[in-house]
Amino acid sequence: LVCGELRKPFYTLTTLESEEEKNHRFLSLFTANESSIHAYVRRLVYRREDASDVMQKIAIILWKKFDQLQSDDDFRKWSFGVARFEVLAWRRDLAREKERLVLSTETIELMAEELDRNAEQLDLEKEAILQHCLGKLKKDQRSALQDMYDDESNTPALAQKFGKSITGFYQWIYRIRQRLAECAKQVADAT
Amino acid sequence: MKKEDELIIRYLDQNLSEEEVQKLDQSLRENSVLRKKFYDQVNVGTALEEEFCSRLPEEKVISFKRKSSSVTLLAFAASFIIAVGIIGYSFSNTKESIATLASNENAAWESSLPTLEGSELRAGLMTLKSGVATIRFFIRC
Repeated sequence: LVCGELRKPFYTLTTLESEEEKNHRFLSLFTANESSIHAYVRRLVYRREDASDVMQKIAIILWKKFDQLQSDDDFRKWSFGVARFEVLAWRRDLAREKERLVLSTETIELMAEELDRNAEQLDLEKEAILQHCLGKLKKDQRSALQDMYDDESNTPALAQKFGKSITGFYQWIYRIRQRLAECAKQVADAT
Repeated sequence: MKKEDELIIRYLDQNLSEEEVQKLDQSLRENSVLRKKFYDQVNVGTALEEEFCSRLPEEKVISFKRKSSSVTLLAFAASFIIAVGIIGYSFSNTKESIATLASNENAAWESSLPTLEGSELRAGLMTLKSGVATIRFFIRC
């Protein structure tokens, strides 16, 4: 009993100290990896709003389960595992509510695994697109891509604006985006 | 351009029928080359969002109760998430305002950032010690 009374304050003190240290450790690990986790989620969750919701859940789960992390070096791998689980939960909820049409669980699991392996390369390519490749677009190509992110635009109207059929417009946009991807690979491989 | 390629771009534009989604799904599972094209298209899409999307407000209400000892951790977690959120947004731009403190209800803050209702917030740490606050983050589309 005496030992217990002596130990208790000591235990409480060390717990409080480690909590504060833990907070700082979590913050630095999370902020260092947040951009990569978000990009990983965004590649699997095709609507930005959905990706934002999934990211919030991931942040909270990572914080709540932070004690389970064995080593700081494993944070990225661990957080990607949590992210993958949350993406699948998002997909399951969408399918249950029949709110939107999404790819199957099997396909998303397959892609999650491949994207996990290629995440760093894709991050490099994304930066290359922003830093180098977008500047090489023709004015109308850039304008069409930008218009697709205008909340008030719709594809039939854009197709008409650029003098194309809807199918032709999609094909044109796809090719522009594919050229950006090829440019990004060249830049990323050269660096 | 193959039909499957068109399905990818139309899927990302949320413009596929149920039958077409099933077709794309099957093709993606069976065809690794198509999956690579899909990843390229999605990756370009994330870059384009960063480049083009305008800033829109998003409301997040962060609150907690007092008294219960078990709630202390939750309270701390709540304030912690605020810090994470704000620091997270610092990746995009550290100098601009990233959020507005929309409302304070009996809120007691520990913060180097302004805590008056209506204040614009830059990246930084805020600890909500008690009460309820509404922070409206600026996010891109």
